[in-house]
Amino acid sequence: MRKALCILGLLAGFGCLKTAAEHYLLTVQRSAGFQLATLSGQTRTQLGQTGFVAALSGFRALMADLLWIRAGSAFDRTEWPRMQMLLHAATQLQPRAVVFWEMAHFHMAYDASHSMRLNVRQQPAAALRRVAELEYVQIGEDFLKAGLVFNPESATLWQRLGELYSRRRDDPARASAAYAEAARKPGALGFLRRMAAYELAKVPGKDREAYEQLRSLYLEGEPQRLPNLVRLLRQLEEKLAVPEAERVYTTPSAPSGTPASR
Amino acid sequence: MNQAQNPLSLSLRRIWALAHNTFLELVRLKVFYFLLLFAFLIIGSSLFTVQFSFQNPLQVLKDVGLGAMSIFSWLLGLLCTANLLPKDMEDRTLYTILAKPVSRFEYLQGKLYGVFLLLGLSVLLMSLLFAGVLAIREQQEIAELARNLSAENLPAAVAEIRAATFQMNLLPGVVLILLKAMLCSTLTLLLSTLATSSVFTVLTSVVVYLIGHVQGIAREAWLAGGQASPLLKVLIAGMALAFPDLQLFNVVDEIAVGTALPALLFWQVAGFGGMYILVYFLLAQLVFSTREL
Repeated sequence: MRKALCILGLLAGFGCLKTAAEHYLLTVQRSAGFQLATLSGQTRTQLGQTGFVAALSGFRALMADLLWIRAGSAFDRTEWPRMQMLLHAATQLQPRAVVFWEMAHFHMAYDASHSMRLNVRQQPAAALRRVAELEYVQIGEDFLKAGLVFNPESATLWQRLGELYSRRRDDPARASAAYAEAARKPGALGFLRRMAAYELAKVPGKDREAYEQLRSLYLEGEPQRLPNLVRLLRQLEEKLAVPEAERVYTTPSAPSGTPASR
Repeated sequence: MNQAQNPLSLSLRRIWALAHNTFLELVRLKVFYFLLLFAFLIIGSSLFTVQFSFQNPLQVLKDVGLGAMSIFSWLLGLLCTANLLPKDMEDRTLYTILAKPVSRFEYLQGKLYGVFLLLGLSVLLMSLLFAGVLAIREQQEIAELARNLSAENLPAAVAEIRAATFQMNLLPGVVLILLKAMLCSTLTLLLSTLATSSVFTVLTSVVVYLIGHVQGIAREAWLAGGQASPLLKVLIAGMALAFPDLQLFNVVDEIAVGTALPALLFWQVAGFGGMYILVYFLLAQLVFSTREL
């Protein structure tokens, strides 16, 4: 009995010391992007009792993969609401997997929403089909925004957000901002700065800003002087009535191979 | 007083002899057959992911491999350690050893190091097998890309596949898997010094393992205060104080998706794991030193 009490006392003493250290380590791990998963009631429903215990026992990533594979089956059967729930649970279990957020948004904002638009058999009213379509676009956007909370440095997710605003929302101002943000992230692809400028050029009242961006890209050299960029630059120079001497594509000293010298 | 009769006497030669012997005993128990199971699981899941995985085959393969490595190393450590003392008592080896100039401290250390050696070798073999299967799948993916992509886009796609397959970060993740298995083995040894049957030790260890993974939730709830009933608060506090937080060692899930593990964080977790092992071993020694044999 004395021995048991002694051991319990020692365990409690060690426990007091270790609790603070554990709390500190958890905080450090979270700030480094670890231990961010949440196991909500909805996730528990999707996993079932055994799966939930497994997820709690260190097999979270495996359970997330299992849900992901099940989402694939839901996709094959075009069961969009079920797919949405499965994707939600998978992303909650593995929030640092950028590909989960990326594909979840894509299936909702593009596949599911498109399917709603064309679903004449189940919904003859075009207005209601449009409402359903926009709801799925919103779900896709929510996936991306939630993904960015866990992966704020992901150029891919910012790029996808820009594409969504551009293609599904017809909102060039937000698309431009998202592309510009993507371009600032590590590992960003080279075309993102051009995309930010192209979208900005579509925003009413932002012509001057767009022109400045396009101009600075043009002046970076040949790799940036793509037909779209040159065309937009020319249009904006016309629209803003930029003096001939300041126009980049008509500058006599422009490098060879530019539209002006051609 | 004879040096060996001192409960804390220490001879590295005697400890090594015991550890080596324990390792050989465990190997003779054909515990490595579990590797066959691991191989089936890894190769099977490799084929499975090609057929059924939804856009993410390499990711699934890595998760299955690392998850299997984690569970197999834990189970191996648990089953080997739970049987150490009961088996030695049953076949009287324990009495023969302790009748020689070997202290109980050395005996326990030797036994535990034997299990650690086995765990280290097992994790190494599993890692090699896992890396082999991953390399084969990587080559298959690259071959698939080469068939479908133009020469212009191929290098970037291949680089992406390579970056998604092998990451140096996986190594510290695997080391932490090993450390968690060693910690669980030490805990099992502690329980085994208290228990009289190995069945009880195994069952209690499994429960401790499960509680260890939710301990973090209990601890954070306890530290946050809240409006729980006093009884619940006592239970949560007890759980937070008595059990280790095993979730802190589960970093491979994030590493597998590309999260970098800072070196300082790795050493902090590893150091913390080492401290757990030391404390639980000393507690085990405390119990064992006064146990009636």
